[in-house]
Amino acid sequence: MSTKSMYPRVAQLNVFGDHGQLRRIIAEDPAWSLALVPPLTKLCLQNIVKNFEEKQTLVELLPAHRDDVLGRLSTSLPLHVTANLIDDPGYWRRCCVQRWDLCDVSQYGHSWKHMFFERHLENLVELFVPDTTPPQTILELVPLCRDHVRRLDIAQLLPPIKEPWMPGRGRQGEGWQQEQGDGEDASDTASDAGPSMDHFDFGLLLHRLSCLEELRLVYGVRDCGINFEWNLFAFTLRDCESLAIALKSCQTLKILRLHQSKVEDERCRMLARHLLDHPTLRELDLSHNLIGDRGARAVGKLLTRSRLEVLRLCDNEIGGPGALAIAHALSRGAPIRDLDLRLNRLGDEGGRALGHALRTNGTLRRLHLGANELGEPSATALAQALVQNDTLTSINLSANRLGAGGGQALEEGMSRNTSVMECDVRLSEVGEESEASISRVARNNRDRTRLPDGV
Amino acid sequence: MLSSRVNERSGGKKDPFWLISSACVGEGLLMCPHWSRFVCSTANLGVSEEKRKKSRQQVELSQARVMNLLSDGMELITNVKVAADAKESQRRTDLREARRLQVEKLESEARSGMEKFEEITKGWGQAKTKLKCQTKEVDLLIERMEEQMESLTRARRQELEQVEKEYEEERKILLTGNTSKWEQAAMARETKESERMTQRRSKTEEYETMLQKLSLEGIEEYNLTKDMLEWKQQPKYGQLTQEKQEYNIQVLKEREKDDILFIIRQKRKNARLYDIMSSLKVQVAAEEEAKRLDDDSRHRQQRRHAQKTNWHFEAVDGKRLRDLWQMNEEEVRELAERALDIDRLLYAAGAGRAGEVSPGTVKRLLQLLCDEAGFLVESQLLKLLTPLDKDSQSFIKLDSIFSALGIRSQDDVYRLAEFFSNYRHQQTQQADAEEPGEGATSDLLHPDDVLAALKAFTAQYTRPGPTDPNSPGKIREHQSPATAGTRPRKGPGEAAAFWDSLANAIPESRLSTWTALDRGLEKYHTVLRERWELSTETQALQRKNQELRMLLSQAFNSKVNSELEIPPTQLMKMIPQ
Repeated sequence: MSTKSMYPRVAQLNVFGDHGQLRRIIAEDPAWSLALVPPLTKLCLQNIVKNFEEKQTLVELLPAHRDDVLGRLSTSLPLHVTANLIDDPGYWRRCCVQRWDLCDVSQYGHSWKHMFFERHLENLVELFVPDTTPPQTILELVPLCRDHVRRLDIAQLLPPIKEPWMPGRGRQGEGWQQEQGDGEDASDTASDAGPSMDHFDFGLLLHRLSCLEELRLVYGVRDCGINFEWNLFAFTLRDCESLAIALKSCQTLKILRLHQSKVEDERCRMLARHLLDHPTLRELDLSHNLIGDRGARAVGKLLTRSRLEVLRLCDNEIGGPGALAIAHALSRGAPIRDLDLRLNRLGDEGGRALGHALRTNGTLRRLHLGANELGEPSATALAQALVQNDTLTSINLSANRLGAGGGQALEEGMSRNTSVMECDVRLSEVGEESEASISRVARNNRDRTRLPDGV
Repeated sequence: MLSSRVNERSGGKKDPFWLISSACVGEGLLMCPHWSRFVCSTANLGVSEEKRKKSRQQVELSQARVMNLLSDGMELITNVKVAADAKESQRRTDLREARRLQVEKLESEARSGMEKFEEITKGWGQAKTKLKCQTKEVDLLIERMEEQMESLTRARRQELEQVEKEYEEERKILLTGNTSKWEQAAMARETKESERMTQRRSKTEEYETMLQKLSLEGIEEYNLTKDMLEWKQQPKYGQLTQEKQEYNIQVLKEREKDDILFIIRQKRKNARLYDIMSSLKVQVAAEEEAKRLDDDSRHRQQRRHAQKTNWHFEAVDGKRLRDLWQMNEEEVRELAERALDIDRLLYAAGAGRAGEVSPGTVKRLLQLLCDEAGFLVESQLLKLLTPLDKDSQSFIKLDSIFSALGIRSQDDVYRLAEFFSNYRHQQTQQADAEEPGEGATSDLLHPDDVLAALKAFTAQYTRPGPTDPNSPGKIREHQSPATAGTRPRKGPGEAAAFWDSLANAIPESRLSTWTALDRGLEKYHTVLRERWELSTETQALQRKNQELRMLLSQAFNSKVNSELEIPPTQLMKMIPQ
């Protein structure tokens, strides 16, 4: 109760009353404290915290005081004040926890600051609307966060619109009705006809991030709800070009993932062309796109002219010719260790080619050919490869139609192999006996490789 | 394709299966060096070789078990994925097959379409050649027709010109002939006309002269005839008067006719009036009758009304009478009661001359009642009672008699006994008055007097009392004004009897005591009055006395006394001396 401050004490009022029975009445005041006046240091520290935005006094303080200040700084301070000044994980942890519900710091190298900047930048890019949002909002952040951003995981990219657009709200205007036709035509003529459908230009960003190692992109809109339109998910040729140039300019990138973005042959070729001879790229993931044989051919070329170790092309439309190109790259000694071609349509042509290539290849460790319409000829070719190859440790042939003959061939091949520790032939009609014996051999191999380590 | 995308979406940014497997494998691989280090450390501690072997075996065993578990788990998990992949690829192949079939279908359709198209174009070619032949023929036809037309028109035109020429020549010839004839005829006419003009002029002049001659003749003739007529009109006056008289006669005749008509009309009117008169007479008679009837009914109504008012007043009067009656009755009853009470008091105080009714008397009385008032008991009850002994018979009889008489309690019985004894006293007194010689034979009633006594008792005790509310109430009800507007209508004799009965509530025998008492009281009253007057007189005298004494004391104490040479006090003192 603040009655004490509002009214004079009753006892003081009662001056003319009976002095023998005078009683002091102390009103309920939660702030009433018998403690001493706070020390000057504390007051100073409070003041420092209060005025931190104007004047940053941190480094000069004693360590204990510094911790105290850091523990009490507001998380809403502007980033240009805090970014370069504060390294204290506790502060950044508070920033993160306040802003996001889920914070798994182990995914960010156990650095709360990295986590904050990476996610902050991701949010900015994901909500960037071309031609509407000023690029300064992102560019201003770059010098502050360039040392802290190792990875960018961008789950959506918004297309440009006339009116401000919010995900989940109704689409207005006819800005998107222009590009009903062929994507190439639209993007080629976009300069003179109507608004372009190009997304955020990574050329602005990537070459400035000096620590960026991993990049994941989706050219599409998340949570579009019932406002779905095909052209929300358009990856224009110009997007592709700018992205490719940006990737080329980013000399630290190790991992690139581009999912669900309708990357077809033309775009894939463009990307591959620009990624040739990239100094650091180790992993390329183009899963869930529309890459066909021509794109696969370009990727095959990229395999020979880069240091790619991991290549994932699952869920694309690569057929026999594309597989031939990749197999060619394998046979020419590309340094690839992990190849994932799940859910394509290599067919027996591709399977045979890969089998032939594996005979001579000495780098590939893991190969995934699940759901690829492989038949018995592929199985026999791969069985032969298993006999000769001793680097492959894992091969996945599930969900194919190898048939009983193929199963027997594989059984035979495996029986003469010592390196393969996993051979997955589930749902490939090989027969239970063959499957059992194959897995038995794989387990033996696994035990054998393990035992010398253990002893 | 879609399902796989969904799969991917649900999986998040990384392939979850891959993630799990890699994590597990990594852990499994990590296990090895860790455990081997543990084993080495135990070895360094100097444990025996066998134990080391055992522990290592155990390590390997558990490693193998864990790996198995891991691979089995992985398999179980990835089964789903593989199944999805298989399904997806199957779907895609199906889709592709369907697409291929569709493409084939479309191609075959295109091919058949092309064939049809070619057929149609070929047909077009044939049709074109045919059409060309026809056009040529048609052209020729048209050409020839035109030529024919031209030649024909030319020939016709020439013929026409020749015919025209012929006609013109003919006309010219005719024209010249006709004009010459026309001129000749015109000349002839002109000459004839001039001849006739001259003839006519001469004739008109002739006729004018004739007209003048004739007009002169006419005037002369007129004058002659005029003179003739004036001469003829002289002798026509007599004829005129005659005509006038005739006319008058005719007028008179007409008037007579009119008079006769008038008389006839009057007669007819007279007869009609007679008719009207007789009908009116009838009408008047009827009206009178009606009026009489009307009066009659009105009188009846008035009478009814009067009757009604009469009834009303009667009712009101009755009510008023009843009220009055009731009031008076109540008053009188009260008075009578009071008198009776006083009487009883008097009697009781007087000496209790009758004395208390002894139980023996009561019993005898009851026996008497039982014998004499048997008629009050219902006959059926009597029949039922016959088998019983005498005592119980009499008891039940008494019970029913008492209920009939409205006697409820013992007090009532005593009162009855008292009444009976009183009655007897009266009887005896009367008897004494009549026959002083006889005297009382018994202390109770004579059985013959019982009925009369009972009647008197019931008559006396029928008023409402606290002890007998029921049966006297019944009697009272019978007499109450509520049921009977009848009572006031009773004969004046009855009313008088009623009032008399009330007036004679106090029996004659008592009246003497009453009168004596009254006389005594009167005397007492006069004595008291005298005493009161005397006392008032004495009081007045005393007051006067006191006043005088006061005056005297004043006179003594006044100052004037001291001033006087001889104060009256001294005088006063002296006087008694």
